[in-house]
Amino acid sequence: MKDQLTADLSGILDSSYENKWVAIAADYSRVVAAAPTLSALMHIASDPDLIYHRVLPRDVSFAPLA
Amino acid sequence: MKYRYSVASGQLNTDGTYTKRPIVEVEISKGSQRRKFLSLIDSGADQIIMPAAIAEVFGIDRNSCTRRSVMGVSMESIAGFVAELTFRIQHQPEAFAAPVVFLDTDVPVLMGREGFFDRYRIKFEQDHDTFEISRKLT
Repeated sequence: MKDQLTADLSGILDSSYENKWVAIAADYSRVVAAAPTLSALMHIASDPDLIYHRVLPRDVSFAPLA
Repeated sequence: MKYRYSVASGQLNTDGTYTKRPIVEVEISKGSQRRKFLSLIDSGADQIIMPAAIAEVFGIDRNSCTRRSVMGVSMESIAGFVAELTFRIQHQPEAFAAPVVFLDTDVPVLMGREGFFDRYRIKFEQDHDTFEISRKLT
């Protein structure tokens, strides 16, 4: 198995990012920008090497498209 | 190729263990435009689903796209539209094109079955925190 940096993002995704979109550096070392919507995030962080991620709320179970 | 389930930051299962999800880095492109997303592999989704904001970034005109509604566990229909994008899964050598249903919501990118599970053999092995994506044998 190749090293997978996505295996544990808890080191960079603290509770302040809950329920937001984040742009993560390509080496997964830090969050570069965050916004309530993807549209807003892409306006402030548009480098194609960034990795976008939706941080889900912590206090709910996720069932897609609910 | 095997991948690890990702720990969802701060979220716990009902038994108090950390929630882990099958998430993989995916490069999505159209023409010369590309973006990367952490995407949830979702065998329960009929198609690949993503926010309409991504279509806007790639210059897709929704008015020229086929309409398609999506129904989730709430059993309420959400209006969307369909366009094709190109995908490259992290650690996989090839890119592939697949249809996407775009919705006006901030849904995470969901890698559903049509165009994805059709092309790859995907094994979920949650009992030891891994999932495997391999090219489908022809």
